[in-house]
Amino acid sequence: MFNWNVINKTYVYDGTFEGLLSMVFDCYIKKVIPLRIVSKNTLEINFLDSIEEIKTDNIKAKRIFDGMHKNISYDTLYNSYYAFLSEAKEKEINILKYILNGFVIGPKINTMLSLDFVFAVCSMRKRMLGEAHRFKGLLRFSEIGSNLFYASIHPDNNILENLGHHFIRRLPTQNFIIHDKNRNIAFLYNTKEYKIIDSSCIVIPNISKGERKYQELWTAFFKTIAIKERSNSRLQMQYMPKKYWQDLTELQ
Amino acid sequence: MKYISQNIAISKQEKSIYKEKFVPAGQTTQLIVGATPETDLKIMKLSESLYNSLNLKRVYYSAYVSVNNDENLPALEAPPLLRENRLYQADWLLRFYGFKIDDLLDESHPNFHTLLDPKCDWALRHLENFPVEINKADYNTLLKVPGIGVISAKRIITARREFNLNFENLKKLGIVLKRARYFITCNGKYFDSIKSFNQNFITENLLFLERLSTPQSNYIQTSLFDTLPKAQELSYNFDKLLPTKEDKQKCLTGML
Repeated sequence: MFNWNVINKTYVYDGTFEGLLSMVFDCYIKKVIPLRIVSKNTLEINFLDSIEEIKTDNIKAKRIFDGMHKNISYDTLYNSYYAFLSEAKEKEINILKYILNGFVIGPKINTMLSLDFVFAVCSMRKRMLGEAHRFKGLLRFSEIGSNLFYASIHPDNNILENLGHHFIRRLPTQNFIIHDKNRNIAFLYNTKEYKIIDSSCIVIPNISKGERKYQELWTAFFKTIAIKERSNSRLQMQYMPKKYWQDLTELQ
Repeated sequence: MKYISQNIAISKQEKSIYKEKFVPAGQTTQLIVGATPETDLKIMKLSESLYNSLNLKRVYYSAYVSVNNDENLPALEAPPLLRENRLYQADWLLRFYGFKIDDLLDESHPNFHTLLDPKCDWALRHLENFPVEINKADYNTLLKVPGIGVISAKRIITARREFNLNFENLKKLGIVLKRARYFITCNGKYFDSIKSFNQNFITENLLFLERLSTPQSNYIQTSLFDTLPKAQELSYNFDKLLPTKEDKQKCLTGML
């Protein structure tokens, strides 16, 4: 089952999911597993490592992508994609091992939770989806123009795509921007199509006058609805952790 | 309530004929706890019968908060939030864990333990059902282990199809062993020597854990200048059975 040679090399890929899948392809052909995998953006040159760059090849990526849901299962595909979107140490190497062993073992791989890389991938997926679920309630849109809404977030994982699709379903007739300030990317939607762009070039106008009024009303509501005798700050912080408070209107 | 529950049942039968459901979200109710002298047993009996006979979705419990001051109203220092928590824990045991209220409480102890949660309390009184073998026990038996919930039980069942589980594996699976390890065996092995599987040992350890996790209100820092009789008075307040934080420190420094 584990007949992969671990080679003392550091593989560098371009930080996209296609890049990772092309690396899976190369490793599968050569029957090897590298010691480390680093994304190009976070690469620190170290004279002890022998670095090999893996080129992104869409044809290879497509073959792995199709092979995964044909020969392993849809769940494996989803697990590895969501795990890829999460922010964790050594996520690439765990996903690589998960997919490679998935091709050997088959759909059973998803239940083998006591293999550490399978559990790591599953918990990464869980963390990413959990955070996305939280932000479905913790996102605060504010109006910055006529029928244009803006929300900024500081999430740990890359949840923007998941979140955007949720709000397209909820608010199909509104134009909105969701801005991930930790990654500097933004999700734009103009009632017809959506786009994820690098947001370092966007200038966000100030919120409109009516919006300020509504923010005050919302804050007042939040304060008056609370029952003083029943306040439980520990529980409150479990549901809305302090790291997200900077973007919440009512807690500023 | 009866009218609603009957009509829900009827509309379920007629689902194929009519598209619209009667009261699609089901019905719920709320009980205010702490204003009147009912015991936990009586409250839980009521909610159990509501679940069984009227098919309620949820029963909510809410600690009594006095809004007006009047001599006819009960005066409480603080709302009984801990009691509310225990009632919710028991409510979950009824709905998802296959417990009956007669297992948890009876006439001789009609109220829930203040330091231990209802499931732990039940397990300690029924040690004949334990320890449970993690690799063999079925889903319903796993659910009865304190510290193992619905998610953990399902995860154990999927994971053990492929491998035999030991304590290390359980930890890796994300199963919290804080309470569970006293009630389980892995491949026939207990986490400590099997001699320590008795009520006193487990109770002491669980209460000790509880003590560590909750801030103590009656914990007093003794100083050199305390007079002797006062110190004696203090020692009566502590339950002598339970090891205190100081005992643990003494243990570590080798004074005991």
